[in-house]
Amino acid sequence: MADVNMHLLSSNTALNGITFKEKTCTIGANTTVTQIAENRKLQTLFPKLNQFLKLVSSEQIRNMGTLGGNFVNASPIGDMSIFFLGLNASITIIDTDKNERTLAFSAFHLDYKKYDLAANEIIKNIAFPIPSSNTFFNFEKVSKRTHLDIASVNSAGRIALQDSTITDAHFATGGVAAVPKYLAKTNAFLIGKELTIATIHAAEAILQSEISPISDVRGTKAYKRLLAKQLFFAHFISLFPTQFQLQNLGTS
Amino acid sequence: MKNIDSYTHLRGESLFVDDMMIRQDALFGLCFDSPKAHGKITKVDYSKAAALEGVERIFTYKDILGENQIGGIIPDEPLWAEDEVHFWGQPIAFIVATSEAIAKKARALIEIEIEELHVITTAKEAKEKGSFINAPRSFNLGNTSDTFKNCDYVFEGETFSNGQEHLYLETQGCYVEPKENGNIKITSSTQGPTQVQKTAAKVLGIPMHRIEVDVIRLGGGFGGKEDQATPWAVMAAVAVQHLNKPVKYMLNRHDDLRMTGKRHPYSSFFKIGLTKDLKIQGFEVEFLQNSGAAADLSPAIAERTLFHATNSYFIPNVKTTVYSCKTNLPPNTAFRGFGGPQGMFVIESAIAAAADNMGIDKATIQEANLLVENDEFSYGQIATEVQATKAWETAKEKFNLEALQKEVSDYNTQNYQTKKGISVMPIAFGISFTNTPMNHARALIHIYQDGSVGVSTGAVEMGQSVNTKMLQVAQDILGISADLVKLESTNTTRVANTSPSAASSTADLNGKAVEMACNNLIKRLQKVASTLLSKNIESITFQEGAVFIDGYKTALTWEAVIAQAMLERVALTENAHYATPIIHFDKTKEKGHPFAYHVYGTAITTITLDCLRGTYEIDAVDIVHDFGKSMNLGIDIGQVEGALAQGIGWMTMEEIAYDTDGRLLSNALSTYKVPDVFSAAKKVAVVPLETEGNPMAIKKSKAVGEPPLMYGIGSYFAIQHAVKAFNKNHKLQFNAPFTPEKVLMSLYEK
Repeated sequence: MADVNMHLLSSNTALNGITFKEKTCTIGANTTVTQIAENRKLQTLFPKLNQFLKLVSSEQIRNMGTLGGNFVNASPIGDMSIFFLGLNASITIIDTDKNERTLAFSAFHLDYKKYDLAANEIIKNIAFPIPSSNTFFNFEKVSKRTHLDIASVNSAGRIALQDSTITDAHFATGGVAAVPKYLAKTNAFLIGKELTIATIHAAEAILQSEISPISDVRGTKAYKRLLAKQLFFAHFISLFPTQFQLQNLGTS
Repeated sequence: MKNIDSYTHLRGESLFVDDMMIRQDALFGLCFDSPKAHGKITKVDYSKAAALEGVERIFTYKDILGENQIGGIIPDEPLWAEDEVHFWGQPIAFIVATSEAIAKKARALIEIEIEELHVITTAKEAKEKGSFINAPRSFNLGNTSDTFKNCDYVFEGETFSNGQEHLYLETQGCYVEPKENGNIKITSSTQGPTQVQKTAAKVLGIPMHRIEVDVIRLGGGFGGKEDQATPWAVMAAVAVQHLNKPVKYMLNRHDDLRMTGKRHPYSSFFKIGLTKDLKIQGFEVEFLQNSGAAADLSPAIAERTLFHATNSYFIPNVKTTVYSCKTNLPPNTAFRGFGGPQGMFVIESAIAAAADNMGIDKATIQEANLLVENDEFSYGQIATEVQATKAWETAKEKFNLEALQKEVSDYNTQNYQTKKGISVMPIAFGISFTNTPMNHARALIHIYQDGSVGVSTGAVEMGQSVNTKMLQVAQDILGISADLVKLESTNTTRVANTSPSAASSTADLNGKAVEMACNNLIKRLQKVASTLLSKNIESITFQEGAVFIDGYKTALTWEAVIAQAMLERVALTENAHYATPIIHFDKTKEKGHPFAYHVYGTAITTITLDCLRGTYEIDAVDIVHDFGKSMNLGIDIGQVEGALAQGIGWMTMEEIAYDTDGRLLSNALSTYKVPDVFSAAKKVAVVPLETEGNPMAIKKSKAVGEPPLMYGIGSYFAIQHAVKAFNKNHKLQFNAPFTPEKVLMSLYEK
């Protein structure tokens, strides 16, 4: 690296910051994980934010590591990638001529370590719709060691309800495909369904058809499939504890 | 007394190899290692690398003027590979350049062709193919085959315990300087300065006295620098011999992980027989040790596995056999516990298997078989001053074991998504090098004419605070304040022919030598003081920096006595040699009395399992430990806590992985995880067992380095207990570490 002429983005303050405008929260690509964790408004929107983000790397890395960096590192298990896929985010890209384009974040990662970014482009920001009062969000991560470790499987998801009907769903799971996996089919299935044990079980079967984990140093294929299931259940158990428990959900 | 290094450690002022002031003309070394695990080297082209500007020279086996041999126990390991490679990461050449960065660039320019041969990575395959380091060894007591016929219960099973990376904070490294007349000074991060000196002399083809090895301290060793600090120092020494310029070589973390050996993985097969009264009557084990590609310390480690195969239990009929299996992994080596933990994991597994089959609690069987006074170990030593039952009983009372067990069982009845598990882990660990001739040490003490004191021993400080203990011994006998005593570096010109700092014995062996030397000095000084005060020699003692008569302080100071001793031309320097008495072992019979004493203790581990996610937390480890009469409880408890964390890591998350080609997959700290402060244990309580202490231990303060590591084994069985509480269908497996992956798969096993 000593021989490479590097251009560091971290000094570009224009790319840093968290703004709220109408129904959208926009976060600059240079924003660190710590900035997100310490943002009062985000803390209000996501009461468990700190708990979630403590699972991401270490305090020192959270102080340095930026969203943009995590996205272009393009690990299929990237915590922040999964986090924002679960938030139904869109990403804005800017080129050297200041032309901008915006696309769904779920379309950004194309294949293993490949993403939709030209040589003259950088990520400008990522934005997500501010959740309403009937929207629920959860993040799950299992790694060999709880802190400062890369996930075997991680997962995030937001779900919106009208009474007991699912009106919107965005679940994503990492470590189970070549890219951070937005579970498009599972999500499409959930919308319009009643939130019941049967729905969750049917959705989980679709989830299994969408993922294609491989065996590696982070775990065997079979383990990752089981973990993807468990973490999918964990979202519902964490968000709706009176309705769902491991007893009624996990023993099928 | 606090660790004497704590002040400089905290301020970052303590000196390690990388902090050494190096000469202006110093060069930097880098090892070129095999990119394949087994094969014939058909071609190596160094021309591009050698032509790179800044590359001074590339050394290979052809440049060795002595022998290309670094094997300690068995001469089976070349310093640099000649025409064959036997493990991925085996050193082939040594690049010396004007900077580390240039050496690294040069390494990438070396072209090598290897005709690949079949790679063995497991001990089981090695055994099938008859690939061994040496002949197997067996310990026998009684007659197991007859016994099993008379047992009410007989169970068989298989276990596996994986390797473990030492992960010393300071990686391997050295700085080597030429002195005049072909003499060489090596500064090395080694636990075995004499081993470095002896091996360098052999490889360089020069006598040992031409080589001086100096060690200030190590940033951790854990056994990984007992034998395996040697090759790097010797490589640099070969370069120095040719170039007559200093050479420094610090391994980076990736190179260190890839090229060095680890704790030995073991595959083992057991058979255990019990009678209705829960007494274990017979126990057989076949241990397959994955030794790696060369002997290193494997035969000695295999031996210690046999010594600890019955842990703290008395079993009248025992037959244990160990095979050191030769594979294509980096030679595995010493690691805290030295084969003992691998042995203990098997007996604990056997008891767990028996308990599970019999439908009773594991602790009931453990408790029924604890060692008592005058029981015989399978190697013939009679157990004396046994603390097994006392440690167990004390733990049971102090920590209210029955209440804890009930709490766990109630919790498991009331909760579904989370379960608790509990286990009890007793230990008995033998203290001494099992190779009797290694149990010796020396100390060299200078009292300077102003009354200050310099202490040199063969002990290597590696964070275990051995220097603090040496200082305490000297200070106590000389009766002076700590600031008058300085611990010198460990240096082969001051203390020669030393055993490595290992086997938990460093403080005992070197401390006893310090004690002897100080006592000899005191005898001379008593005579001086006796003349000065006209009092009987017997009435004189040295305390608080002054002379006491019959227990009363006089006006005569330590400094005044030393000044008078100088005038009287009394020798103020003393060298003492200590060799552990009593111990002996006959390898032809595999019987004897190899240990000065045993260390006992009992740990109770409780854990909570998240049955949804397969993750677990260690709630508490409650320990009663036999320190003897601890000479420094703060330091000793620190050793227990550190060893426990390391043991928990070995049993839970530290997972060494090689692929079938013999390439290390867990080759970085992103893939190899050791416990952090959150995952070790939320609460650790260490209660010292009240005992008389053992006179064979320094100041009756028992060795503490290795024994507590084995408390970590309890975490495996506590997790297993919780898994079984969730899933009655789970068939017990003994396959460590019990990673979250294995936990989740077991929880949902049909």
